[in-house]
Amino acid sequence: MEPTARILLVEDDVMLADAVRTGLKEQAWRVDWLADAASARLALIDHSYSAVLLDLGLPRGNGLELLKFVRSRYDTTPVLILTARDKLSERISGLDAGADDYIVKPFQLDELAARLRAVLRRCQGRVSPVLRHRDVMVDPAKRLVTRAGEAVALSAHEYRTLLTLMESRGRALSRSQLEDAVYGGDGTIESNTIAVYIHQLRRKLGEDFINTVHGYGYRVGEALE
Amino acid sequence: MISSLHGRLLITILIVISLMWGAWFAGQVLQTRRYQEVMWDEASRYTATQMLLSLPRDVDLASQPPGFRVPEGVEPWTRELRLAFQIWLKKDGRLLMGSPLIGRTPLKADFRDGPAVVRIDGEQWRVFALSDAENLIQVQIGKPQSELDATARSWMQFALLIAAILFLLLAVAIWFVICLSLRSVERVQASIQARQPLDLDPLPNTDLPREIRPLVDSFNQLLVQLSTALEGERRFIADAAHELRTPLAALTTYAELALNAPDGRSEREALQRLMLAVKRSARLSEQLLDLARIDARPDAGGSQSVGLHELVLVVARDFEVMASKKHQSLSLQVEPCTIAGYVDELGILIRNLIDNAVRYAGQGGRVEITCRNVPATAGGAEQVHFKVADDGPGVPVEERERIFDRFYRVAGSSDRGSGIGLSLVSRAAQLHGAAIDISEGIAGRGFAVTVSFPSQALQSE
Repeated sequence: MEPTARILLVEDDVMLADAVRTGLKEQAWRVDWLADAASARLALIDHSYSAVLLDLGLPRGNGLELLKFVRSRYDTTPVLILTARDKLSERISGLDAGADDYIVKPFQLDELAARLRAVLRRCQGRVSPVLRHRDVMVDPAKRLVTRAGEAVALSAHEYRTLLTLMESRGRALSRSQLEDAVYGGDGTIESNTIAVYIHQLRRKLGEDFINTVHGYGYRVGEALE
Repeated sequence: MISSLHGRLLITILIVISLMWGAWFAGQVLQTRRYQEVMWDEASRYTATQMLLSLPRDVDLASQPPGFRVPEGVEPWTRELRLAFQIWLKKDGRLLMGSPLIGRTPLKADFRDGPAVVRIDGEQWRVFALSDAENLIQVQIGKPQSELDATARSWMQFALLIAAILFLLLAVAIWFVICLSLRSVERVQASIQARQPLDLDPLPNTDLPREIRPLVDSFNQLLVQLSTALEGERRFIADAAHELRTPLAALTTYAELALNAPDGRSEREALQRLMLAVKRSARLSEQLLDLARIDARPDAGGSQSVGLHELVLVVARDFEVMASKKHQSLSLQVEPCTIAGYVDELGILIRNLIDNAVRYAGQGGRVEITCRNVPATAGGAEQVHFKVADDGPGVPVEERERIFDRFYRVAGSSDRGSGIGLSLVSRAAQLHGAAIDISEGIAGRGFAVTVSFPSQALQSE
């Protein structure tokens, strides 16, 4: 963890923003707070942040637009969105627009800090150049996946599963490693969802694109010597 | 475009009538002209015959030019009734007699018998020629075409006048009939205008013409729906007021306790209770908001293709922290399932089912969430089953029917719920045309809810 990580908080509710700032400062983060989308947009152009905490309902432009703007500039700064509990559709579209994670209001500060750390950890050492294997190309900056030159539509989770596998091409990843990389949770939920994403990815990219390592996990490409 | 029904009906009817009358009139004009020409030709033949028969045999010896004159003051011919005749000696083409009107040029230069139209001095004449049996002389009679037309024109003017009068009478009559038939619409309109706001009693629908009645009936139906919705809203406000007051009272009490605490330990204790009460009211307000949202939602339209497994995963992750605090195991078994639905409302359904299970499973309990495609059975279509099972205390069989009612709480349950969650689930399921089944939970204990959605046949995703 970086003790000097600088976070941009975009939230229009003063009371909540104040509480989050106080809480995160206690944990040695530096927090810049902006209350509207337009000034956040400027701040994101001018400064470089370790992560962005983004509320979706903002005055002067909405958070989703801001997120799309950030990603359209091939800016891979991790973005964690803050959403209301009843807006599941908002959360899904946030993920699909390239958010790294979300946290549901009302949240607890320690959970927020944990999610933030997880997002930062996942992003460290991530290589930005284009990844290729056979006829499949993944461009993390553009969040674009093509197969034989044709764009392939992937859900946010399918994309992250693929990206994780491609980044460690030639190495087998266990299911829990993948789960951790894809959701960054604490692993309390035991699920078969990684298997579902692998199944979907194989359907879209070719049955033999991802190899199963029996009793362990999955791998893209041949095993390294 | 004229917006008044009166005006539109009247104008349309009058336009149709005048078009039809115009067509009839044009036909009549043509017919009359033809008839007049034939009549004139017949009359000319008769006159020529009479003239021919009354001529003396030695007509060629008659003195030239005419020897008689009309008395002073009598015009030899009139402008209005110009009729000309000539009698020609055929063998040397000499004019024996002729009306002064036309001069010495033959009316019919070719001397052929029968009717013809010729041009004399730039004017159209209708002429008729008749020769005697020995072909010695020929009688020619002519009349300008304009004379014939004048007769037709006066007839036309008369007809137009009559038509205009009839037209006016017809317009007045039609206007009266239209006003009379639209009176019932005006009555309905007046009774709507005279209403108090929020008066949702049905409109009177007796004495209405067959065309208007369905309109009033569907309006009444709408009123019934509106009044149901309004009733729901009133009930919600009453319920919400009651439900919100209790936790707020608890909050105030704990906050006071914390403020007045004599030592740090009891202050901390009071704050912890305060925190619990805050969580409870936060959950309650969320559910009340969900309730308002789902109640206000129209029943149809705007559904989209949704990957249920994705939603389940995203929502289930919200419960990670809560489950790990209670040392519960949360297991998720999903396969790609696509249904037609509304993301936010599905979120409400999924969240409330998982929330209930995690809440009631207790310390170290188990919660299993499954989402799978069920192939079509005999007499049933393909379905998607979403099931949440726990190994908590479960619900007594006799109460299972009622737990989906709003604000119903199972007696003696320790973690006091709001009684809203399952009613939300039931409403969201209804919105998606899904059925709800209740069964035993895990390993013969607890409680499981299965929601069966109609599956959406999919090609690409």
